[in-house]
Amino acid sequence: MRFDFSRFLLDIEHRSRRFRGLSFACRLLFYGSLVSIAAILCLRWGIPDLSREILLTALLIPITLALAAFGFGWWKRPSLPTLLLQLDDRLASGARISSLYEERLRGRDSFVRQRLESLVETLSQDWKRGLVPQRRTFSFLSAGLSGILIAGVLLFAPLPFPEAASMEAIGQSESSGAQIPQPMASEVARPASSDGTAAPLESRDEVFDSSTGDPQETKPLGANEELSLDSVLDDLSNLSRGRTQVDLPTTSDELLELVDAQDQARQALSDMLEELQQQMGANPRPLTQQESRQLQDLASQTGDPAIEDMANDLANESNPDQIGEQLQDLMDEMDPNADDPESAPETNEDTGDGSRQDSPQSTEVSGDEEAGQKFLERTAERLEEQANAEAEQDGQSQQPAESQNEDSQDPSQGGQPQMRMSGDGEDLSDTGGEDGMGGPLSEGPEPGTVGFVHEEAPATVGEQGEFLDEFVTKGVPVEMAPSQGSENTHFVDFERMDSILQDRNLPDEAQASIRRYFELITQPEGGS
Amino acid sequence: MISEQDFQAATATFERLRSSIAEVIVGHDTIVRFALISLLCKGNVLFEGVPGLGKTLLVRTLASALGLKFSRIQFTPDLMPADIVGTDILTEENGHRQFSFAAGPVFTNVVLADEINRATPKTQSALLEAMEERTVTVGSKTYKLEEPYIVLATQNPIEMEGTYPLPEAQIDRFLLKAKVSFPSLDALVKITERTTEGVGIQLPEATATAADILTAREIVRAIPIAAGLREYIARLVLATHPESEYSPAQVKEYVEYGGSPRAAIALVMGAKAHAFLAGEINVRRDDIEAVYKAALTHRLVLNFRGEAEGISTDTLLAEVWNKTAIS
Repeated sequence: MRFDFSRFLLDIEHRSRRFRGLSFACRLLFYGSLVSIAAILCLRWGIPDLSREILLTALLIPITLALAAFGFGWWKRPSLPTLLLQLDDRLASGARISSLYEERLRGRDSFVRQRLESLVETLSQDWKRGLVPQRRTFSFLSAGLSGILIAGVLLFAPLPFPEAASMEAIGQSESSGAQIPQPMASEVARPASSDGTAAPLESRDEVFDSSTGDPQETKPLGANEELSLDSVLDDLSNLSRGRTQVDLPTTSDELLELVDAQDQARQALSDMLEELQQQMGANPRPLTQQESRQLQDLASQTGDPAIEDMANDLANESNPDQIGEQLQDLMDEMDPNADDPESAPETNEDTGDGSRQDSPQSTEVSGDEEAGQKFLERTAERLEEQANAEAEQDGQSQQPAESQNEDSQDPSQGGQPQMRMSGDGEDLSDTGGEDGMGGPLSEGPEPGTVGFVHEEAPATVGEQGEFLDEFVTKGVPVEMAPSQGSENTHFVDFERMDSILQDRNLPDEAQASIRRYFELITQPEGGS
Repeated sequence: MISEQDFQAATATFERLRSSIAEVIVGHDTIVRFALISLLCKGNVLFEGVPGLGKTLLVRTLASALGLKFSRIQFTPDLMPADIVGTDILTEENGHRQFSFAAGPVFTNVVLADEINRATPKTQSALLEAMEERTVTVGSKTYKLEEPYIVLATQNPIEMEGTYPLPEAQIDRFLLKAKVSFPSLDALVKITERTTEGVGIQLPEATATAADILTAREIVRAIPIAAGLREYIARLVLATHPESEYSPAQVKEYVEYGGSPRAAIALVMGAKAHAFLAGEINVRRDDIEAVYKAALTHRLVLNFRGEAEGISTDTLLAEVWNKTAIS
C-alpha cells in the first residue's frame, strides 16, 4: 500500500491545530482566571449586593476565554513548512519530511522523492512524539485550573467578606473616628455590658436582629461611645461565622436575676426622676453631665428601649422647660397606670384552665414582657415564701388542729375563706366550687401558674358568716338592701343579672346555670 | 533527469577523490571538504593560514586528483594585473605585425592564487571577473574560461608584514573561506614521515574527470532543501546585519556590514554540496551548520569598535547561530 503523504500531512496539521488551540486556551485560561479572581474580589468587596449569578459570570470568564482561544487556535492554520521543519527537528529526521513536502510541492518525480517517501513512511509510524504539547501548556493549564479553583472558593466558600457598609464604617472610624452604624455599634456595645452586669434583654434581642442586617432594627450609637477597630473586626468575624457571642441567661435563675436587676434599675430611675422633678420644680435648670450620664445608665439597665430613648432625649435636652415636660413623660412611661389607671388595656388572657378572666387583675398577666418579668419576680418570691412556710409548718407539726383551721381561714395566708350566706347556714363554698363559676368568689390563681394572680379578697367574713365588709365586686348582681336593724341584708337583682348575662353573650346553658345558682342561694322572696 | 545511479556514481567519485587527496594531505579533512564543496558549487575558496601549512600542496593535490589543468600565481607586491589575466602582445608572422593575446595563468581549470594578499588591490581585482563570471576581458575582447573552473587562493593573516587586505568585492566572491590550522601531533608525525622517507610526496593520479564534476554539480543543485531551511538560512544571513531585527546585540555593536545575498547562496549551495558529499539526498540542518562559518566569516566587516576590541567574526557568527531558531 502506497504511503499517503497527503493524509500524513493532514494528520500533522490537525494535531498541530489542536495543540495550538490547547496552548492558547491554557494561556487564556490562566490569564482569565486571574481576571476572574480579580473581578470576584472587586465585586465582592466593592459591590456586596451583587447576586451570585453575576459572580458566576465572572467565573465563566476564563472558561469563555479558553474556549474562544481554542477556537482561534484551531481556526488559524499553521505554516506547514515551518511545522514540518519543527517536526523534523524534534524527530531528528534530517529534514526529510520537509524536503519531501518541498519535492511534492515542486512536482518533481525524481529518485530523491521516492527515497524520501520511503524514509518518511518509516518516520510516520512514530511521528506523534515529535508533536506534543509544550511543557508551558501544562503549566498554564495547571495554573489556570488552580486559578479557577481559587475563584470558585472565593465565590462559594463562606469567607469573611464584610458588608460594604461595615467596611465604610471601618474606614470612617479609622480616618475620623466618626460614629458607626448601629449594626456594628450594638454588637460592639454588647461586650462592654457583659462584664459582670447583665445586659438588657431588649438590647440582646437587638443583637440578633442586627445580625440579620436589617437596618430597620438598628439605632444610632451614643455619641460618646468610642469603637476600636479590633473590636469591630472581631464582631465582623463573629458575624461571618454566622454566630454572635451573646451572653444570654441560660437558666431560670439567671433570668430572675436579670429581671431583678431591671426592676432595681427601674426603681432607681424612678427615684431619680422624682428627685429631679422636685428639684426642677423649685429651680428649673439643665441636667448636669453627671446626672445625664447616670440617667442614661439607669435607663439602659431597665431594658426598655422606649425608656432608654426618652432618657437619652432628656439627657441631651438643655431647655429647662422641655426638661420638665420630658421628665413627666418619662415618669409616665415608667408607670403608665399611675395617673390613668383606666387606661390600662383590658386583655382576655387565657388562664390556662379554659376560663377567661375579665377582671382588672388579669391585666397583670398580659403579653407584655415587662409584666411577665414582674410576675416571674413575684412568683419567685412567693415560691420562696411558700418554701419557708412549709419549713415552718414542718417544725410546728404538733400544733392543735384548731389553730390550723384558723390559719387556713386567714385570707392573708392564701387559703380559701369559708364563705357562708347569712341566714341559711348553707355552705356556699361547696356549691360555688362545683362549676367553677364562683364570680367574685372565684379561686385565686395557683402559685406558679402563669395567668393567675394571687390577690387578697377585699372583704372579710364574720364568725356567723355575715359580711363584715363589702365583698362582692362590680358586676355581680348581689345588692345590699336598705338597712333593717343592725344587720345588712343582701338580695339578688335578677333583672340586672339577666342584663349582665345577655351583655356577655354567654351561652344559654351557662346563663341558666348561673341563674339557677343564684336562685338556689336566694330566698323565694328575693332577700338573702 | 538524474537517476539514483548517477547520484550513487557521483558520490562514489567524490569519495574516491577525497580519499586520494587524504593520502597526500594529512590532517586537513575539513579544508579538503571545503575545496570540494567549492568545486561542486562552482565557487572559489580562500584558505588563510601562516606559511608552511601545506596550502599550496593541498591545491596542487586537488588539481592533480581531478585531472584538471592547473596554474599557480604567486602574488607579490609588484605583480601586475596583466601578469594574471594576460595581455595583447605585438607579434610578427610572415612579415606581418599584429597583436595577439597571450593568456595569463587564469586561463586554466584550477588556479592557485598563492598569498593573494601580498599583491596590491589593483592586481587582486584582476581576478574578479574570472572568479565570478568565468570570463576574462582584455582590452575590448572577452575570453570565456573553461569549466570546471575554480580559484583556490591562499592568504597570510592580514596582520602580517607586506600584506594588503582584499577588497570587499573580491572577498565576497569567495564561496568559502577556511582557516588552515596547525596540524595536530599525529598529523605532524605523519607529515614528517611522508615527506622524509621513500620517494617523498607524490601527487595522486586523476580519479575524476571534468565531466564527472559537471555531472556532480547538476546533482548537487537537484538536492532538495526544505523551504523552512531556506528561510532559516535567510534569517541567519539577515542576523549578521546590525540593522536587522534578527541580529543579536553583539552584531549590532561590532558589525559594520553583514553577509551579502551571495552569503545566502553560498550557504544553500554549500549545504547541498555538503549533503552530497555525505551521501544524503536532502539538505539537513547539519549541512548548513557545516558550512555556516566558512560561508560567512569573510563576509562580515567589523566596525571600528569591533576592530579595536579585536572581536572575532567567528565569535559573532556563533552568537548568531545560537540566537537564531530553526523555526
